[in-house]
Amino acid sequence: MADTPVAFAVLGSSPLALLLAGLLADTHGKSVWLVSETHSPFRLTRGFDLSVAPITRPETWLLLSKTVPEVRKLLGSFGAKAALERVDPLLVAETDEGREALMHMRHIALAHGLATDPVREDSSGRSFRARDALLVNRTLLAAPVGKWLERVGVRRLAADTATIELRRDGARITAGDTVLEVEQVIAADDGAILAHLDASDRERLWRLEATTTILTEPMRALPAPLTLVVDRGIVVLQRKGGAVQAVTGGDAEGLSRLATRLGGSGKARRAGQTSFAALVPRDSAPLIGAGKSLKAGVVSGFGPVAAFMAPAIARYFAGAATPEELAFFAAREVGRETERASASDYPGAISLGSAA
Amino acid sequence: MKAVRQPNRLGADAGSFSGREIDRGRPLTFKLNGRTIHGFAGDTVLSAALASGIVQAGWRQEQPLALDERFAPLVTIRDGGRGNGPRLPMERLPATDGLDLVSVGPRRRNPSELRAVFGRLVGGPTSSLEREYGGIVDLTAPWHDAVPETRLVTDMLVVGGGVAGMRAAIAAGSTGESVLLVERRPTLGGDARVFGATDEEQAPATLIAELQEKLAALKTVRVLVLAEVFAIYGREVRLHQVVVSDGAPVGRVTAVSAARVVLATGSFERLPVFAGNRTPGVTRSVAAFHLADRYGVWIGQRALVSTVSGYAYRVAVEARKAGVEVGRIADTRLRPQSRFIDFAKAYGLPLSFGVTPRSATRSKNGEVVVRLSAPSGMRKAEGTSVATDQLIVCGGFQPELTLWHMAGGQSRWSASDNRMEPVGKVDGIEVIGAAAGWRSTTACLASAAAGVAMLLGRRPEPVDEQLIDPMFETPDDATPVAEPVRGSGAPAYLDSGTSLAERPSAIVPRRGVFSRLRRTADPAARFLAQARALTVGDIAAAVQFGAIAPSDAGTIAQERCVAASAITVQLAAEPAAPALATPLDAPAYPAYLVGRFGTDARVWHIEAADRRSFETGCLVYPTSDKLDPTRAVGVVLRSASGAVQALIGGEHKAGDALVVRDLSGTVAVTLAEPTPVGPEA
Repeated sequence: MADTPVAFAVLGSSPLALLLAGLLADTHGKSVWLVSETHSPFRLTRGFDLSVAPITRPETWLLLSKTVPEVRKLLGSFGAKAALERVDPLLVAETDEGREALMHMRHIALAHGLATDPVREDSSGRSFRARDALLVNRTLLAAPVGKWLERVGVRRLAADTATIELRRDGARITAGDTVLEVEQVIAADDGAILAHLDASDRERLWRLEATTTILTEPMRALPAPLTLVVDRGIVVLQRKGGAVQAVTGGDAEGLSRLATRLGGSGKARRAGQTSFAALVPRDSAPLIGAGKSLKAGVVSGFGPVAAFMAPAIARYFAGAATPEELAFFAAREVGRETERASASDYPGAISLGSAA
Repeated sequence: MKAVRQPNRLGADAGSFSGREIDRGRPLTFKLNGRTIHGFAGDTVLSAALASGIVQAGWRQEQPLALDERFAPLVTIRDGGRGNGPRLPMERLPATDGLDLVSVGPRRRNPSELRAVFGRLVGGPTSSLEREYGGIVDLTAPWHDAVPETRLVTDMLVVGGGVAGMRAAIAAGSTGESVLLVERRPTLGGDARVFGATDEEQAPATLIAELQEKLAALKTVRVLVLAEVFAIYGREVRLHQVVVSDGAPVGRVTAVSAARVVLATGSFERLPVFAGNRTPGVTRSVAAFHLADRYGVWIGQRALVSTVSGYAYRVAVEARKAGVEVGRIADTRLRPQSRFIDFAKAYGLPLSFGVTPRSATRSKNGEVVVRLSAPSGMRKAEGTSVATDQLIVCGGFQPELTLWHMAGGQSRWSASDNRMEPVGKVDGIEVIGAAAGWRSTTACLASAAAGVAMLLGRRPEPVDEQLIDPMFETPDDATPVAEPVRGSGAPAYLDSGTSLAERPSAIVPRRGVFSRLRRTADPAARFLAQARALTVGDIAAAVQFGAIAPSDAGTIAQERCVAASAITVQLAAEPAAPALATPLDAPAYPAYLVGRFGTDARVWHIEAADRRSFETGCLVYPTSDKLDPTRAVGVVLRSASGAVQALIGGEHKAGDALVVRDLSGTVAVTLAEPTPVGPEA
């Protein structure tokens, strides 16, 4: 027998999914269930959550200028301040197209008050360092966000035990004796979209990008603790102690390029590796909502900054968005092909290490 | 009687522990780190070193680290005082008369006087290879990154020369398939001798001899020994083999392309997790059995056994028959029943039940001091400390799944059996025998035949596990995982391999709905800081003490049990493009600028009074009064020799004035003329 109808079921395990579920319950008073996997610090990451990205659309920067402080405050409110690390990421481009995008991104960022170092040009490409960005430490986030979700009434189902039947007007979720009638389902990361959306919809809206995460043994210090190679889909994060977590293309070329970024052939040794498929919107514009064609709402293609947009995304789904936010998301809604053309971003901005 | 030069060699009268692979009539000597090592033909360098009293690989965190089949430094041939030869594994390198070897790896530096004194007291310099394993140490064998020297093509590759692998090779070879059977040890047979046989089964020695005879009769089967498969990519495999050519040992990396692969990698013995579990003198029971059975090597004259399984009793009984003083067999189980226990009782071996190991330390005189919990029914405080020469430990058995995971195979945690088990299918690859989780020899042999049938597209015969009734043969207990001992200083390792992963600080479970979210910052940080490829044993232990959720174990095993190879440039990826300015006649502007300045935006040539250039991305404003980026009307696309193109939105005509904001401030510009270029398709 079904329990009381639930307003939202958020599917996903990414920081965006966790924050979105919590905000819908806490700020907007909705009944929310979260269907997610448990975070394990020993699993390799499939994405990074960073407050900057190679974004070329000014409206995205404008939105972030409002939501990043909100996220900082939110995490502080539930004891996850330590999960936000200050970093100075190095953004690099190797191709002409990438270099061009990098310059557009830099000037937009400067205009929105982001501090950056001068542009460098050398044999490894064009680069600049962004100052005072924020990086989410997913391991340090896991426990406090779990406690917060519990406190604000978000109930949780383990993804591997839940059966989800999507309908046009909601969904039925079953897990053991629990049966939920859900008014709105939001697939908030790649894993959730891949697991629950129809293959035909997925094929129509996204392309699959083979991606690899590698953990290395501790190695010598890299030029920057966090590097984003914006036109190669590479993110390299070196942790205290020297171990590196990196996301790169899942083919031999991706590994070769990563090896080059790690100092050359044989300079780093594998301590772990996993391959997975990342979803990239076909029109290079982020995707939000369900439109008329999907049985579940989606949040996809916002890139590494997705978690930092969580407050605005929550307001959008709760029907409480500001006019500016509404305009921003309307141009990125599923099915709005005409508006979406003016929302497409540099591909590196929407795909770089943001799978989950 | 033990020879003085080989204090850890049992005598020729030690029965089944006298060493069936050595020829005592052919003694040999070689040098290792300048010390003369005495051995016999048939020894490996490792077995001869252990026989000669070298029981310590080196040090880590100021604690001695045992020399073991799964953890031994590589050695190289000393050439003119320097070790420049090939780096070879001690456990697979045949001992050869006259070799001059030196162990590889960072050497322990500047030992303090206190340590030197301690070392002399415990026989340190002579019992240790004195490698330093602290900090960032590359423990990966160099052949992981080597380019294969030779390439073999075969219909079927069988990895593992135990009885299941032998049976698989025979089954495939009998059909006319070309078969390559690869075994890392010097001889075939695997661990069958350790486990013995039930009443209905053939004796292991008889079975192995029969299988060897059948293999020898098959011209379709080629056997490689002293060869270890270290990587598998689909059905492409890399192996490293030690061969002796003209008296000189060399290592050879071979690439094997196989249409079908059988993984008969067996099981390995879990290491009970307690402080000091890799102290020199602590030996896993299967390793102890092989050293004694094959080479007649046994550390010391007294032994204590700690076990979760009946099989360690068999090792203890054989040791007793060989003249070893077995002080006690301590079983973690409360009322175990086993035919092996009956044998132990018949030999008068002292037994205690419900007892787990708590810690082990090495005393100044080289003894292993073992702290055991109190037997069942006694108060905790009544635990005991026992001094012995060797602590034999048995933590149960785990299918060896490293290659299975590398091949893309999945696994899951079995709560009932406390082990990781393979699940699912990988195209063209079958996992059989103990690696597939089968326990009895009968089932292992049947699974071999079934696996080959599956690979050949034939209908397999069903495999029935034939276990003795639990009433008569108590199942193995879970691997003991003791609480950390505060202030002991000795790490509690999770497994016996090169990962050197330790049990991290205590993990505090959370209550409530999110109970599986744990305070994991500290263990995660420590794991990442010591990031190395993990073993399946590490994963299993981490599940047992709660660091890894059972539901995550399979995924984590697949991610972290990898070949610790270097990340290399495999393709000649084109270098970063030279920094060329985009030509002014470039046909398009990028899609991410579409709509940014309205639907009527056009590309214009703009000019500054001083004909300066602007960086790509500089924003264009109507006036210098309002530099809010949302009010920008355009953006600079590209500049060359004072000619600048910009994408400008709104109604404009040539001669209109705008401003460009660059890093120095705002600069007045004039629209010169529109261009015909449009956006990228």
